[in-house]
Order: sequence, then structure tokens, then C-alpha cells
Amino acid sequence: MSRDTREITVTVNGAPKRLTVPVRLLLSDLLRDVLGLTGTHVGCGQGPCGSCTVLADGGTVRSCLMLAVQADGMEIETIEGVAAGDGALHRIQEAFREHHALQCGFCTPGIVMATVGLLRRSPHPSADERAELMEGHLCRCTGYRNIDAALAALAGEG
Amino acid sequence: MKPAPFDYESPATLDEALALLDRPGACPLAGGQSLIPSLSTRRMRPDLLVDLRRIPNLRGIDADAHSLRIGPLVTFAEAAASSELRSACPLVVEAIRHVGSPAIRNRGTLAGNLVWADPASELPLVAVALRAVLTLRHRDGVREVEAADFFLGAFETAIRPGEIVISIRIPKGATGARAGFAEVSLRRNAPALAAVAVQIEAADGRVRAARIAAGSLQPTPMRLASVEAALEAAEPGTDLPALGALAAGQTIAGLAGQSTAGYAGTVLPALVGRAIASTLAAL
Amino acid sequence: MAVGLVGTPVRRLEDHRLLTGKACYVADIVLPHMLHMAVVRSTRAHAEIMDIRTAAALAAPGVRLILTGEDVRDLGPLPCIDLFPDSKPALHRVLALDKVRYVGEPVAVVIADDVYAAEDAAELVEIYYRDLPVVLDLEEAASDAPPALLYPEFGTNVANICRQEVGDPDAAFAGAAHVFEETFRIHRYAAAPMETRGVVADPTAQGGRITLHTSTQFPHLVRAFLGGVLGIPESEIRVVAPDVGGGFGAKCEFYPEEVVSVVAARRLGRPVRWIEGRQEHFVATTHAREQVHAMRAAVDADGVVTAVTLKSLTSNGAAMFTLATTPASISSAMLRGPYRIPNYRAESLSVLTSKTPLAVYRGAGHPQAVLCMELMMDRIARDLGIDRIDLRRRNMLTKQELPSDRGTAIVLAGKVVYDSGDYPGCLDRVLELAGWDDRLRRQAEARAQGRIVGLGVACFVEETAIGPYETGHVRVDGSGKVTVLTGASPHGQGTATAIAQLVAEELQIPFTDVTVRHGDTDVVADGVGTFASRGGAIAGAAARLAAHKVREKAVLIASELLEAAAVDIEWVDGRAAIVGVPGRSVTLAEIARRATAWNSLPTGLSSFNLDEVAHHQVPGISFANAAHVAEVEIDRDTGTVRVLDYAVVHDSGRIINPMIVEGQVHGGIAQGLGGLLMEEIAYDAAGRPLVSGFQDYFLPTSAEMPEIRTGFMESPTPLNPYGMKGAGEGGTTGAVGAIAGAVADALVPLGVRVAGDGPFTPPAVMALLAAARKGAGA
Ligand SMILES: Cc1cc2nc3c(=O)[nH]c(=O)nc-3n(C[C@H](O)[C@H](O)[C@@H](O)COP(=O)(O)OP(=O)(O)OC[C@H]3O[C@@H](n4cnc5c(N)ncnc54)[C@H](O)[C@@H]3O)c2cc1C
Ligand code: FES
Ligand code: FES
Repeated sequence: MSRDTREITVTVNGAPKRLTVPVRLLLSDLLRDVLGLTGTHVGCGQGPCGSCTVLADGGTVRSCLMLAVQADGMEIETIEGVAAGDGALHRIQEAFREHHALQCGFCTPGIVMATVGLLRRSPHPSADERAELMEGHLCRCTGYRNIDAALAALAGEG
Repeated sequence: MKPAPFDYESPATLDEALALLDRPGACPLAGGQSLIPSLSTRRMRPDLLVDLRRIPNLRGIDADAHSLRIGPLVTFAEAAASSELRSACPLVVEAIRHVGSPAIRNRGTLAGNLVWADPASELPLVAVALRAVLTLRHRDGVREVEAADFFLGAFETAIRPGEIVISIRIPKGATGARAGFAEVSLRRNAPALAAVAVQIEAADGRVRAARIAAGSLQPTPMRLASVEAALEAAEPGTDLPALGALAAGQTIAGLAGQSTAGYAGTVLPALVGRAIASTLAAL
Repeated sequence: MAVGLVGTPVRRLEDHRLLTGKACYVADIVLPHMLHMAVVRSTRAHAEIMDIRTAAALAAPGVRLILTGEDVRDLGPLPCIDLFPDSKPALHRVLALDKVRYVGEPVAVVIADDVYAAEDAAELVEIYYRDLPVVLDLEEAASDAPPALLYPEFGTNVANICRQEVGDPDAAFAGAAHVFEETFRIHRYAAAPMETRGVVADPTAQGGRITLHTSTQFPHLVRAFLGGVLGIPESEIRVVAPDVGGGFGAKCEFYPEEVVSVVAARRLGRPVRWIEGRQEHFVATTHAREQVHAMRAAVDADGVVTAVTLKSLTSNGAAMFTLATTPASISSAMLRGPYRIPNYRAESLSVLTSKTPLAVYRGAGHPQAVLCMELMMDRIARDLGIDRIDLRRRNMLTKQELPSDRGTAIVLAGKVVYDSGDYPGCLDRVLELAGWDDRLRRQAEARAQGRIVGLGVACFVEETAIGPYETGHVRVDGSGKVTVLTGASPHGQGTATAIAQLVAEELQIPFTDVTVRHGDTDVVADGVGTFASRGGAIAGAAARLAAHKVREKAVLIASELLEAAAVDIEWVDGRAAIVGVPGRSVTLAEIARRATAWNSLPTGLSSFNLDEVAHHQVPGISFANAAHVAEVEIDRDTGTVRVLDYAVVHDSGRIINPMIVEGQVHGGIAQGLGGLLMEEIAYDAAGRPLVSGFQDYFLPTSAEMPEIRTGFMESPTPLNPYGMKGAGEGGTTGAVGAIAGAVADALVPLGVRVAGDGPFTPPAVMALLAAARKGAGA
């Protein structure tokens, strides 16, 4: 694929992996095509849409704006690691379902991951914190009001 | 939408990095939030990416008596969380609220943003307003460039091939300095159509120091020196937003080729007024 | 428990997979030995292709095949299904041959081992062009002396003319007390679903059948079109729409990549995948809306609009895509909306321009029509000094006047006969919901303080639930669980949930016992698809009809099992029970097991298995209606428009799931808002689009969305056995009218006359204000 490859070590959803990757491979492609974690979606590949958002060392990042080699040594979390092993939805996912905060679902994993990150830092995020989160996510289906309602409910409001 | 091939190194020392960057077609990689999208569209096709992330001492914000020194790998998120920046250079923190979205701010660096020199960027404006000084390292030496001299045009700076920014030094404002940032964009998290950055130090009802710059008027940030002077000369009790707006209007009127200032020129006086008002509200 | 399931906001069956990352969109499909395709696209808006050199690209690492127009010369063009008999068939080729007509037109494809290699090689394909004049301006393109003819063989750039004629407009104008004229300009923007398009073409099925996985809204039509273009029977083709990340009309078109990937896959004997890039999307996927409407209205002394004439142009871009004339057809057929206007004439031209092909997007032609009609209504009211609500009421069809044959027709769908609804009632309800009088008062106060505040109201009627038909197949197996196969192909609408609700209610079982399958032409033999707000109503009706037949069959089987006459059997909670004999009942599972093929045929039955198929044949279009109210404020200093408040009352007949319908309305409003305030695909003078992705094509974010209050009315349609109409598009249609009306209203005191749909960006609004000042000064 490329002239050049590197060996990297990443932990993905708790499982350490040692991989040889082309240096130009994007993290989004590593997750989706190499590791088969296709729940991380690519809506633009340029940064604005947020559908590819994952957690890297606990902070949200755009997986389309990182090279896989830059993730060397990092801990990556994706949507596949959010629900419990028995398939029971995480409370964030439950809130999204309850408030009809998704339609086609394409943007959803990115927003859920950002919410996972936010609630860890701030268990009862303020309206401003929620608005800040939503700065980074485009959704073409829902018109956002129901997403905002789900986030408010998770914050303990509404 | 996939990068063209390149070579990649992540050197462990600055010297190694500088040596690699001396090769033709080499390009430093910091947070990648401007670089990687350009690689993916193949607008940029460097031969060698030199990832700065493993180099020690490029992170962190240090202070001495007169200035703050921001390392080139300091991200927007780290800067926004810095209490030192918040108190001594609040404008930096104010401006960062307008940069991208949380995930972008988690990765993107202030230095990378300055080097990218997008005319719609917020940080170049702040750097010019606050008289920041960039320290540039090349394998052959070090030099310092004032922000006002750093920006040469849209996406064009004084940085030379092989050089990297190793620090951004910003003179400290007096304790109690306050800042305001006014911006118009098409929607939340879209590039600025016009922006004004203001930082004011005040005492006894007087403006001791005003730092004001405007973006999107021309390809590079524009310091509004006459507006700064007007505020600094104002008697206590003056309506400062109105005064600033007036002075900004005069600046625009006097601008050579003012018609090219377009929309940003039209709204500049109002934005100056607003940025000053929000600064005063914070005081 | 299932009784009364329809009409309740049950949570969606779809969500669990979508929320856990287990959905499967086309880009998630990985097949053994799969190759990757990159498309080399025209960089010129109009040019002759002098030469294409592929040697360097072919020699690049990992490259397996390159195809150019010559290689697919014999394949038919892509069909346009809404052409009129005298249309100029300016059809899109699979790959450009001899000429390119827009930036983005596919010229060649490169198939390689991975997508990185394919893109590397695509850069090495050399194309030599000789530029031809470009045709961008709509009026110029349609004129007698256009800068160029895109298809010289037709002698014109006008590909189609759609006419509507009702009553005697000339007489009405001759006798009019007032005549109003306005030319409305509507800009070009796009559906821009979050998932781009993509395909995986797999030639490896047994017997050489082709499987095409494609992100589409109508897999069965793709199968038919693909068979037609390739000249192979449909039975040799399986089309699968996997999970689809939004479509909104843009995926209700048949695209060249859906053909060329299959050609390449068959040649190579290996699966081929292509996933559209976002930058590519903005040139390769249909655009929408761009029209000019020259409209005249004749009004009598009492403010009754007696006639309207319309001459409209649609910028169809460089070829007629699948549903190319529909925007012109709908906007001309539906312009009068809920207003009586007894005399009407329209001439609507579909015009070829050097741009990406344009076709349908949520609302198709309705948003354009509503924009023009409602801005015209406001202007008439203003100029005649009549309250604008009052003017609307005077002209509005009442409940008693329905059904009403409007004398117009919509291509593919048929005659426009409004079936049911209470248009004035809907207007009243939304005014109440919005607190209209209070808002008017507050607007006056705000204006007195120098603020620029505007109120907009939009009333409309829209075509929904078009035919021709949809299929439903309901099967109960020995586990007692129910599987529904539907011909709809939903992609976010929650149709599976809605269908499950209908079927579960019919069979009185928990709706989680129902599985709905769709989108795979091998699983669902026949279907039409999801577009034109048809999924829930038409497919829902078909599924419920099938469920009803299943229940009737189940009762017959039960009568044998229970040794009772069918008339003595009642259906309770998913069981057949003997009336008045407690404890004597059989479950759905027991009944289904009795009907399996390894038993004898149950008495009185002519077929095995507890399953039934139903077609819901649509007797006519059902028309939904709504009224929207928007309040906006414009920042005088910056020109920023903010939508402060929003209220909508929507009537789409009987509602299956109000939560889902409300979600559709919200999403639709966001799209209307985006189109009016920030979305635009502009072109430079050389015909290059000025949009390269979401970094310069701005979709609204959460921060721009107002609070939305939604009310519902339910006027059942007689055209659907369960009274259901469609609800997928109205949000957008109404938002375009209401927000444009509000912006126009806000600017009235400043002397600005709004005659278009913006986009009302801060610079555009400042320019309007400056122009008005200049006009006032002159
Ligand atoms: C969706 C999105 C939204 C955005 N919104 C905004 C916004 O609102 N406002 C805004 O201002 N920006 C915005 N940006 C741009 C962006 O965040 C920045 O320009 C930024 O992060 C660059 O820093 P980086 O560390 O990511 O630099 P990189 O992308 O790694 O590099 C940028 C350039 O700087 C060079 N470079 C990096 N570090 C150095 C160094 N130390 N010395 C010399 N050269 C160096 C690189 O070679 C490259 O040319 C946005 C980006 C995205 C993707
Ligand atoms: S795909 Fe990464 S931000 Fe859109
Ligand atoms: S649910 Fe479809 S894009 Fe958000």
C-alpha cells in the first residue's frame, strides 16, 4: 500500500494489539478495515462531521484526522466497547433510544463516544458543556432537538 | 480521500528532527488537524513527515516575570485549561473557544495553527494583538520573529524550509487583564467571516493597555493600533465600545483598497464595539 | 396488549444495532478478494476529450483494471423515468465518451488492490481536453442564443417542458383589480446525507449472478435499471440496500458507479468496492432545488386571488437523471398549495446546464412552490393592506370543498386531487400553538426598539404516499414469531418499527415478536422503495393487509384445531379462542405449526403455511398538509439570521408512531433551515463548484436549531385502508416557506423586498440592507 510501514502498539477497547501498519494508513481505516470495528463511521474524512469520533487516551479525537502511527502507545475506545458484553445498552445508548435521538444512525456512534468522554469528565454536564460537545457533530436526520433532549436527560435534567 | 505515499519519522530528539527537516520535501507534523485533511485530499504531498510528538520539552507552558512561553506541542485544549494563560493572557483562552470543536482542540496545537496561517483562524489574530514572539529553530540556528512580521499572506508565513516553531512567547498582561472575542460565522463552528480580538488592562477607570486586532479584513491579521490608542487615551466614563467602534470605522475608511475588506470591513466597527463591551463586562 | 399499538410512540426496533455499532452500511461490507475502485472525474465543465492515456496508471502497483468510456461504449445510458413523450433524452452515460459536460463527470475508473493504490493510480490517468464554452446561468441556458448547446443534436438546452392549465387565466387577468408580478430565484444546494454513496459489486455468487450492495433508497428499481443497462435479466441480479445512512432523495437516483462497478467486477471475477468521498459527493451525487420562477397573480378587489401564471426554469445540470423532471413537475403542479385560485397556467422548463445533474431532494418541488406562493401571499397582503392570515383564509380551500380536483398533474404520480384535510383548521391550530397574536405584539415592541424581527407563516399541501404500489409479505413460523418482508427500503425513517406496530396490532402480539426485512431483492421479491413520503403509508398498508389475511387464515386453521366453527372464534392477544369458552384457545405458534408442509392441508384451506402476501395498489395520491410558523431575528450589525422560535401543525392522516413523525418533522425543518441560511453550491465562471466538503458546505448544527413545538391533526385519507398519508418531507417544505417568509417580513421596514431563498448568510443579508439603503437614497 505504501512504501513505508511501522510497527505500533495500541490498546483497542481494552485489548492490546501489536500491528504493522503502512505509515499513511488513517486511524479510521485501521479501526474499520484492519480491525473490523466498522461502528466508527466516516462521513467526511476531513474533520467537520464528527461521525468518526473515538476516544484516544480518554479524549475525543477524529479518527479520520490521525494516522494510525500517531496512535502508537495509545488507548483507543470505540462504539463497540460501550455496551455491556451481554448486549445490554449503556445508559447513554438507552437515553438516545428513549429520546429518539437517532434516525439513520450514521452520526450516532460518534456522538455517543463524545458523550462517553464528556460524562466521564463531567457527570452532570451543564447546558454549555453539552452545546460544546454538539459543536463537533453533524447529524442530517434528527434536527438535533432529540439529541439535545437525550443529553439533557443524561445530565439529570429534563 | 487517502493520502499519497510519504515517509514518516518520529525522532526522539530535536536535533534529529531538525536534521530530517532539512531534507527537501520534509514537513513537520504536530496535531495534524490541518495537515492530515490536506494529505487526504492530496492538496499537500510531502515526501517526509517528521512527527514531533516524541521530542521532549516541546510541551508545556512556562512563565517568567514578563511572559508566558507556550511549547509547540501544546494543544488548544491544554491551553484553554491553563490557569496561567487564563489570568495573564485571557485573550488566548477566549479565542480558543471559537476554534473548531472539542475533538479538534484536543489534537490541534497553537503553533501548528499559527504556521498554517489560515486567514479565518483565530490564533494569528491573537498572536498579533498580544505582540507574541515566535522562536524558530533551524539546524543552523535560532531566530525570533514577531507575530506581526510572521504572517505574510493567506497560508503564508515567514517560516523557512527546515525551520520549526519551538516556542510562542506572549508578554503577560497585568493581573486582572480581561479579554473579549467577537466573531461572525455562518453557523457555530464555521470559519470566521469577520473577527475581532480585544484584551484590556484597566485601572482606576482608565485603560492602561489595549490590545486589539481584526481578522478577515485582509489575508493577514490586522492590528487596530488607532483603536488601541483611542481607548488608552479615553477619559474615565467614556463609552468605550462606541469610541472603539468609531475609531474602527475611521480605520476602515482610511484603508487603502477598503472595498476589498468587503463584509468584514462593513461589520468591523460593530464587532469592535461588541468585543470591547464583552471585555468590559468581564472586567 | 397490542390493541391500540398504532398511534403510540413505541421506541424503535432499529435502534439497538445502530447504537452499538452493529449496523452494516455499505462501507462496512468486506468480501474475500475484494478490490477497490477509484473514479477519475472530469475537471472541466464542458470539454471535448481529445485523448485518455492510461499506461502509467496501469503500471502502478496493485492496479488490476482501468475502464474508460470506450470500454463501456455499448452500454445504454442511465434511464430517466420521468421523461415526457416529447422530452429531449439528454441521458447520462456510464462513463463519458468524447465529451464531458460537468466537473465531476466520471471519465475512467481504476480498480486496484486497496483504495490507497487505486487513488494513487487514478492520479496517473492522463486526460487531454479541449475546452468548450460553459453554460451556467439558467436564463441564458434556456434562451434562444445560449453560450453553448450541451447536446447539439437537440438544438436546445431545454430538455423538457411541463405544462399545467386550469380554467381561464387570461380572462381572470383581464378582469383583475390588481396584478402582482415577481421573479423568485432559488439557489442550488444538496441533500448531503451523512453517509455518502457507495457500492460493493460481487460477481462471485453461484451461477455467476451479480450481487450489488448499494446505498440506495430503491433497490428493486436499481435491479431493473441495472438489468436494462447491462442487457441481462433481473433474475441474474440481486441488489441489496444494507443500512443506509440517509438519502433524502439523493439516493433515489440510479448512478453510473452502480453500473461500472458491476462491469469491472464481472471482468475481474472479484468483488469491487467504491465508497464516495465527501469531496467527490458534492460533484458526483445529484444536487437540488435551483430554479427561477416568474410568477404573476391576478387579485380581485376583495383580495381573492383569481389566477396565477408561472413560467419556471429548473437548472437540471448536464444530464437528465432518474427523476429529473419531477422538481419542475411538482413545483408547477403544486404551486397553488391550499389556495383555491381557480385559474392557473404553468410552463416549467427543465434546462440543461454545465453543472452536476439535479434531481429530487426532500420535498422535491414542494419547497420551491411553497416559497414562491407564500412570499407572494405576503406581498399581496402587504400591498393591499389586508392582514396576511386573513388573506390566506379568504383564499383557502375549506374542508367542505374537499375532495378537490385541482386540474393539474404530477409526472409519474398522476392527477392532483386533494383528498382530505382541514387547511383553515390547521392554520388556526398553528397560530394558537405559536401564540401568533402575542408574537405580533412582541414583534411591534421589538421593532420599536430597533430590533429586526420577522414572523413567517407557511401553509401547504403536499403530495405523499405515491404509487404505484407496495408489497407486504407476512409470515408466521412455528416459533410463533412473525416476519414481514416489505418492498419499502427505509434508511432512518423507522419504517420497520411502524410496520411492526401495524402488524402487531393486527395480530395482537407484542411488537417485538415482529421482524421486518427489507432492502434485499432476493429476500423481498418485489417492491418499489422509500421516497416521496411513501414508506410508512403504502408499505405499512400492504403489510397490514397481509397481516389481516394471515389472521383470517389463522382463524380457519384454529377452527379445525379447536373443532369449532370459524364464526365462534375470536382473536384475543395473539390467540384464537372460542367465544364464551374460557381456556379453549390456540396460540399463533400452534396454528402456524399446524399449517406447515409436513402436516396435512388444514381443512378448508387451499395452501400451506401461515403466510400471506398483499399489494397495496394506490388508487390516487394522498395529500398531506401543514402550517408552519417561524420567528427570526436579524442582527442589524452583522446580518446574522437566527431562528428564534418554531411551531408546526402537521396533518398526515392517521399516525402510526407520533415519535417517529415528530422526528421526521424536526429533521425536515433542520434541512429547510440549512438550505435557507447556509447551504449553497455555487460555481465559478469556469463551471467549477466552490464546494469541496463539509468544511465549506455548512450543514446546520444543534446551535442553530430553534425549539420546535409540534402539533398533529389526523385527517384520514380515503385512499388508504388505514387512513395513513406520508410524513417524510413536510418539515422541509414548510420550513423553507416559513423561514423565508419570516426573513422577508423582518426586512420589510428596511425597504428590502425578498424574492428568493437566499441563502440568507450574514454577507448576503448585509448586501440586501446596503442595496435597500442605496435604493432609498436614490
Ligand atoms: C473540522 C476543523 C475545524 C477547524 N476549525 C478551526 C477554527 O475554527 N479556527 C482555526 O483557527 N482553526 C481551525 N481548524 C484548523 C486547525 O485546528 C488548526 O489549524 C490546527 O490544529 C493546526 O495545528 P496542528 O497541531 O493540528 O498542526 P498540523 O496539522 O500538524 O500542522 C499544520 C501546519 O503547521 C506545520 N507545523 C506544525 N507544527 C509546527 C511547528 N512546531 N513548527 C513548524 N511548522 C509546524 C505543519 O507542517 C503544517 O504545515 C479546524 C480544523 C478542522 C479539521
Ligand atoms: S469522518 Fe472524521 S470528521 Fe467526518
Ligand atoms: S441519525 Fe442520520 S445523520 Fe444523524
